[in-house]
Amino acid sequence: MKDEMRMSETKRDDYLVSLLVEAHRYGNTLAIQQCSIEILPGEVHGLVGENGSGKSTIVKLLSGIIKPTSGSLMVSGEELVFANPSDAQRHGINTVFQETLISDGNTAVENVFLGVDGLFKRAKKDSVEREKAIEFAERLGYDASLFRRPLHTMSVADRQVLTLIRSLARPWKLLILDEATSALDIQTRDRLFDIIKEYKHEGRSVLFVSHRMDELEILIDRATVQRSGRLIGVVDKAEATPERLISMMSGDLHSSNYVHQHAQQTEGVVPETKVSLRDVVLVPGAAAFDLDVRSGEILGIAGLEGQGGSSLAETIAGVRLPASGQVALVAAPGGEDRSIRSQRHAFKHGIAYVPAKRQEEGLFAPLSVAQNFIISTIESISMLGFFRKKKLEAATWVYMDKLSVRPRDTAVPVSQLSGGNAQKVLIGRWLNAKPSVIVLNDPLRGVDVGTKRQFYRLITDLAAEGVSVVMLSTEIEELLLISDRIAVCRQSSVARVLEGEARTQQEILSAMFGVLEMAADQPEGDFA
Amino acid sequence: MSATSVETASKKPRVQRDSIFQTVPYWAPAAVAMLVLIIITVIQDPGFFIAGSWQLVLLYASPLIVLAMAQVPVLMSGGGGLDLSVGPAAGLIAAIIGGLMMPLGITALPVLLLIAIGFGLINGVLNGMLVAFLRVPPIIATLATYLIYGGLALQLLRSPVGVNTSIFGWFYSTSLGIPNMLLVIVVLALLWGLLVRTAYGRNLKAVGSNDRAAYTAGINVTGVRFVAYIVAGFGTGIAGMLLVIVLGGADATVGEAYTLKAIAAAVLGGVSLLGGRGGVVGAAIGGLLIFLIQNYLTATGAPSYVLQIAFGVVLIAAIVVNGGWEFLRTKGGRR
Repeated sequence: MKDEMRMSETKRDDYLVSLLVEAHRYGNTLAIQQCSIEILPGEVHGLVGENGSGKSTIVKLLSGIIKPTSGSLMVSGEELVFANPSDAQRHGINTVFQETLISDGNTAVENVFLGVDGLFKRAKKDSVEREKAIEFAERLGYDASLFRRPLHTMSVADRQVLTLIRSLARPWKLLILDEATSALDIQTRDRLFDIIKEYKHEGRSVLFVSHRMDELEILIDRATVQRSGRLIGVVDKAEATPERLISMMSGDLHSSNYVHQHAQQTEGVVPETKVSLRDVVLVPGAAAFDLDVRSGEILGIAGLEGQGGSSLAETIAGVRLPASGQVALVAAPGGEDRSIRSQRHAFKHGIAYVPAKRQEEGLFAPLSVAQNFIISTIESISMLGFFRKKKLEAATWVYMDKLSVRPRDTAVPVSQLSGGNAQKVLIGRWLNAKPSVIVLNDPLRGVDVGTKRQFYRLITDLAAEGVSVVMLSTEIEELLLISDRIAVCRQSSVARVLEGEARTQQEILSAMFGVLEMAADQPEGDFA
Repeated sequence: MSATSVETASKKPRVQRDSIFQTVPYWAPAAVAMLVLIIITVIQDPGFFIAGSWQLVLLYASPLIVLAMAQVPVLMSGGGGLDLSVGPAAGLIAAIIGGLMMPLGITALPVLLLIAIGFGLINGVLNGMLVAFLRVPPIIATLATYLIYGGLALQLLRSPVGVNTSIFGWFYSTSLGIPNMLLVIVVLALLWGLLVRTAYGRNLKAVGSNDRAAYTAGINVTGVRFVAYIVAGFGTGIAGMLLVIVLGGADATVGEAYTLKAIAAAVLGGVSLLGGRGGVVGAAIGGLLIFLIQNYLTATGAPSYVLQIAFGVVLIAAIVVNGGWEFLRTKGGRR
């Protein structure tokens, strides 16, 4: 659509916003490197990528929430460094975030104009504020009554409308919508899209971050694609088809090289169902689904953040109970199935759960490796309520060796271990309980490659012993590498379960982003 | 596009009748408790209103009332905001006024008041810098200043001293039957009212309710919290002056006991410890409530440990009642 010649000659000054980042780190973690995003005046620019692709880092840099550690930001040809969000707003960059950032202590109108005033000095009179708020509410299909209601009676959609009006009603040149449409209802979203088209003609720009391929397709002029914290490419509207974007996001060139090591090992063994989920609804309003966890398999859970993957893992482990439906431990033939009542109950019957936030939910940082390791199975090494130190040491060392925990010292506090080694201690703790099902909620986030390999070995060994492994991962490559089946979550339900040949990166991404449903569900000429 | 033609009617909210819990102010439970306590006091001492003892009660309660009011901005600023240093800071200021300035011959009331407020503001700036700029958790930062002020006061004033109270006559008397001390408290409440009518009021509520929302919306969160501690410092300065007036002297050890009572009073008055909700009216009522309890129990000859137990029980009751009130207020909640 765009003139190729003109595009290639665009100087940096011609962009409304141009951000170049060499590298951005959070502590020791490299979030993005060699990334850039360049937004023309009067365009809707898409920013797409999987989880962990660095989209949110880009948004935070543009909206002044984090300060760049390297790189440069130009707005209308002027080199800038934003110290805080109000700086970004002063230069015309307003952001609507996915979380509905509302202050319950203020009124609805006040929420719209938060941050416009000085510390003491009001920028506008009450009546002017009110009028302006109502004007934008009406453009979004609401009316003045929105501002008469107490905040605590408002739905998430209403609250998100307030944050949207907050960004629209103060001056802006670039509006960033960071997954902001997911909380809106469809009519409001459509009205927003119409308004955006009007703004485009005025020369204002929108950076649209979304994982909804349908929304991207109708709205954007160009898109920047990121993967694993790197820039993959910038595409024009004509090229920005869902298929093309997904293949860019996934980097499907190397995905076929993965060899599935595990499936061969267990062939011939008849799997039995260990946990069965029937008509399970994870959150009220989501679609019901069935799923079995079988012995000796590695069941992967994939899905974009907030799409129910973590809830599914927690539901299998009894950490949370489903809104409706049954999650049951399947007994040996002749026995009786038991529905899972709680995590404690699940653990008693052989389901171990390793939480995602190992520092907050799993480990006791000041306690030693040995103490952290034994805490869930303390009965096994105590006698008449007394702690048997020798037994503790012996039990700990079995897993210290098996998982090659470094340093080789059971007395050091867990807080001094690296992320990967801390994770090993946590997993060792649950393995010591000899579970028949182990649920791992994103166990390898932020773990180095070497440790990951050890984990893959460990997990496939466990499965070979007949243990069912359920593993949520945000890295699709990882799931492809080790799992037998992959349950893909979308909109708080299991959208598809892929196994065998169907387990390709392309298929997973399509299911994650709902590309297939789009074609099927879409009524003519609409994008509901 | 067909979707845009959808009627807005579907979007019209259910018209909600405001329940009593939504229209009545946050300090209502405390006010009711205060009335009950006043009635109990009058039954026990029928001369309470006639013999002028209520004016005396108000006089003696005033330092606690003002310190409870001083807690309001910091509690409202959220992020664990509270000021433990108010008691010793008021004690130190009283020691400076009663033990240092007045013996030096400075007896002009406006000058003394300015000195007290000045030291109060210095205290506020110090606490505010620690909390807002250096990000020291408020409980630690103000515990540190609590200890420092307590020590400094003792260093300054080894033993209690009396002062010439003749210059404070106005504070002890009444105008048209209203004790002048009540006027002082009303003026402070009005000053607060003026402050929260500026943009600062909404900024404070936003920072206290949801500091992430406030920050991303462009509010200077650091500045708002810094100012909250300075405002608390102002109140502390006034309270220091009132201590000298009420006690007719200065005592370095008297301040510490006020800190926890002041926080308890603010909570009694419906100020949320989580930030965002509250005001000085509630805190003032809470302060008076605590003093009335103390007054009643002392009058009935109850030993001091009963007093302690009573404070604890009342505080728990206050938290339960205010929590319940908040629940009822938002019942039916978010959909």
